[in-house]
Amino acid sequence: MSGLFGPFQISASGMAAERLRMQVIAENLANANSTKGADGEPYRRKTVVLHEAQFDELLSGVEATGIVEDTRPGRRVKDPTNPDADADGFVTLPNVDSVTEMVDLITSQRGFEANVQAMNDAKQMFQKALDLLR
Amino acid sequence: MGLFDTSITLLEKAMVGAGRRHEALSANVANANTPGYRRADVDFHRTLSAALGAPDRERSLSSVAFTAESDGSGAVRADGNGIDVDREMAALTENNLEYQAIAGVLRQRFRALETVLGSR
Repeated sequence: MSGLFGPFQISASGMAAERLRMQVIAENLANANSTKGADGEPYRRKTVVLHEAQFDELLSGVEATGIVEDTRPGRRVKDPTNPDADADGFVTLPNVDSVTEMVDLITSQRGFEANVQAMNDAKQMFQKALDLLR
Repeated sequence: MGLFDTSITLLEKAMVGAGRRHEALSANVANANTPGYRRADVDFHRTLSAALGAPDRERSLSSVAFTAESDGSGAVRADGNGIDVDREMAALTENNLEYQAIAGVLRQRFRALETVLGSR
């Protein structure tokens, strides 16, 4: 796998993984107040599971192996007028904490940018190597 | 010593080594958010100076191989990941400039050969 395009594959895998994380975070934020989903339960926060993807004996890219639901219970608030309220007038909100999501969003965005920079560096290096022919 | 002397082989191997190091550093950046990932690095300077110090330096230089090593240094986060993106970006930039410098010197060596051969 080492070779001319190895670094591009590695950085591309990183960019894809960070993009997926950003998508899932956007979904969590959009559903931060969704009290009922398709299964009739409040929305549950989702996270992306990232694993090392072995491309070489030691060098590795990254791959998203799955999207898992956060099973922690959501906060219960008294809101008797809400149609999703239980018999006692309590509504279970999704277990999404927007501050956590925003922090994750920033790390993800910075991670994406770092991968772009690594890819640009690789491009510049190969350009230099090709310049030897000129 | 033939037309392509040790310095050309050395510069060529240094470019290969810097290329390998770039792969290792890119892998570190790609795995900046992977739990349990430990950083990898390629110490091509050490490999090259070992080859230069060997008795038959031309032979050992032309058969030199660069390996990525797992590096346990640096603080480890709660998720077992030891990547500091700032440090990796600094290393990437440094390595990129070094690669460009080596390529520049190699190009000059080829220019010198061209002059000797009278092609310009």
